[in-house]
Amino acid sequence: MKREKMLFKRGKNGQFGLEKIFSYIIYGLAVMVFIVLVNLPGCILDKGQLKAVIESDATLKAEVKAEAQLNSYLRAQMPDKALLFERLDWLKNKKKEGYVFAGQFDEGKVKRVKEFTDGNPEAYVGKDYSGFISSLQAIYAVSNNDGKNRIKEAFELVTAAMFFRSARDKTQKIGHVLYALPIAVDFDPKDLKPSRTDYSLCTLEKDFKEFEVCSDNRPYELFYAKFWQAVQAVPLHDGGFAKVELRYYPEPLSWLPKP
Amino acid sequence: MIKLRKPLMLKSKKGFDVYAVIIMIVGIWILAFVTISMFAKNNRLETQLGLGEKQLGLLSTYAAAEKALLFVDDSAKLAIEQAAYKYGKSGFYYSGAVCGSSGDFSYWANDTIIPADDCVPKTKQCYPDEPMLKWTLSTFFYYDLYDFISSFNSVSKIEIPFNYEQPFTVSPVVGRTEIVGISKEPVAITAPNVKYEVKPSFRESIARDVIGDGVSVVAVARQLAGEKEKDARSLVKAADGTGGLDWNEKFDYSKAESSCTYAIGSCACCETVETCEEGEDDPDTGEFVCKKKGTSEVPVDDGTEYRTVPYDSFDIPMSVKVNDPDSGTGHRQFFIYDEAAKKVVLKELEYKFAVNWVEDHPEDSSTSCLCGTGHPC
Repeated sequence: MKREKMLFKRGKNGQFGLEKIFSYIIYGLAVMVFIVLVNLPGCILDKGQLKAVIESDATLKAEVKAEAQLNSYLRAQMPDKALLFERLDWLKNKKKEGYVFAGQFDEGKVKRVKEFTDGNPEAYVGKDYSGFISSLQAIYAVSNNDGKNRIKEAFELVTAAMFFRSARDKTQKIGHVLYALPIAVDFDPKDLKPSRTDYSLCTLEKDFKEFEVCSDNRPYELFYAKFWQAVQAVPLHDGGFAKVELRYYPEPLSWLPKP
Repeated sequence: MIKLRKPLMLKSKKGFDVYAVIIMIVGIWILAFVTISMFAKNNRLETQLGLGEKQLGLLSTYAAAEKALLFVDDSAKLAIEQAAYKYGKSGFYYSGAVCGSSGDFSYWANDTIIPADDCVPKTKQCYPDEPMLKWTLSTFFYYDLYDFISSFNSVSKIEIPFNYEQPFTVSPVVGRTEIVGISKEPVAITAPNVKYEVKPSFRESIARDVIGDGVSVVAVARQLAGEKEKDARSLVKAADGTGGLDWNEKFDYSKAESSCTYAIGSCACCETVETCEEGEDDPDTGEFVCKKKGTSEVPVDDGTEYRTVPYDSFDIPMSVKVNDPDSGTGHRQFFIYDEAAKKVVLKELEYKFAVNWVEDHPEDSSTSCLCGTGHPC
């Protein structure tokens, strides 16, 4: 009898007091949930505060992206002759499919560029892209007008072959577009500031110094799009330096995949 | 017994629960603290930076520094090529070989034979050893890199300090020449709330072991001096092609005959003087009067004896190029700034040196005595 009563008394208050412990736990959870709710934007924050919390500066991002892109281009290893010719032929064949490179990769131009690279292996073999630019300047400086034009063509097509991009574009019959970011080189710069920001990089405009070599293979969507310009100095063999400029265009909305 | 149980039963049912009170106080305090913190923020959310802005600011600083570092790396690549070319052309000596030079060729062995040394051939050898090869390359590289960095600093807001541990380390890498520069001073970039420092150290190389080439060339050059023409040409032919080196088998092997004359001491000579064979004293004046004059050879000690030693001087100027099947000319080429022509030209990497030695013919030497009157006894 005594034993049963004592047992009954324990049972009344709960075995090991678990009821009490669980009630405290639930209370603590409720407090935590309340704290979380209070900190959620929108609960007590107004629109201005909300915007301040989640907005970001796209300009700074794009500038950093442009600089990083140009740096990675300049450090890219030049392909060997076989791979380079393979890419040139591949892009030339794409011309038939109405790609944006249609105006650049015609048969004659590709042939001349192949002849140039074949005759000047020291310009690119074993070098990176910045070494290629330095070597081109050395050849450019001692070339006549015809030679200079060959160098311009070589730079344009080799740059496109190395750095072409593919983007989905449903407006195109084939569903995507090939393009390359504009790159221009000034072999005799006075400073390291961007040379022009209001005109097309490679277009000859009055009062603007023409770049010695330039490559611009943009699709129509990027003609009037906002861009960010990066500048980098590349040393030349004569002890000077060349100014390399890249225009970075973020992909337009129409190219981005729909959610 | 029953009385004892009742109080016990009462405590366990309605006893004062301290734990619950504490939890309640703590909970209220936390809620109050959070609420007050939310509304009493010193930095309003609207005035804070946007998402990722601080991080992007840091990345932008890194990107600015990366510009300088990229230029240093690119400059080092060009500087190694220029330095390798100059190193080969100068015969592996930065300021000219101690043994002299002949035109473009630095002598690594140069015999001299001069009268003041009694026409004894003196051999001078200046074969550069491996430490000298590395020092020469490193020195040429130093000045070339300095020119590049200076041109960048003249226009850039970011200054690249040119303060590297000396000498630059020419590291042994199979098939390559690698130079490592450890900077002692950093590139400093200061932005709002950010100060970023990074040292413009570098490790760059070219695809040719020019130090190894130098060692091979010197080893062959040591054997060349003193060889007959046929043997010298065989030696060069055997070395040709080894290690990718193209020795000039059509080198000039020139032999010039010459002689050296030196004074060996005085010798006796004779002088013809007038004598009197017959005479007598004048009775009036008492002076001697010669009746019959004659001549006689009188030895005088005013002559100097000379010895002439004929000898042959041999000269081999040598040029060694580096084979490169990918090059237009078949030899490794670099773009080099030609100071004289003031333009950049494509030049072949070439190791140039010369050896010279003499072979005298003492058995063919001759002596002669030269006196004031030219009369030997």
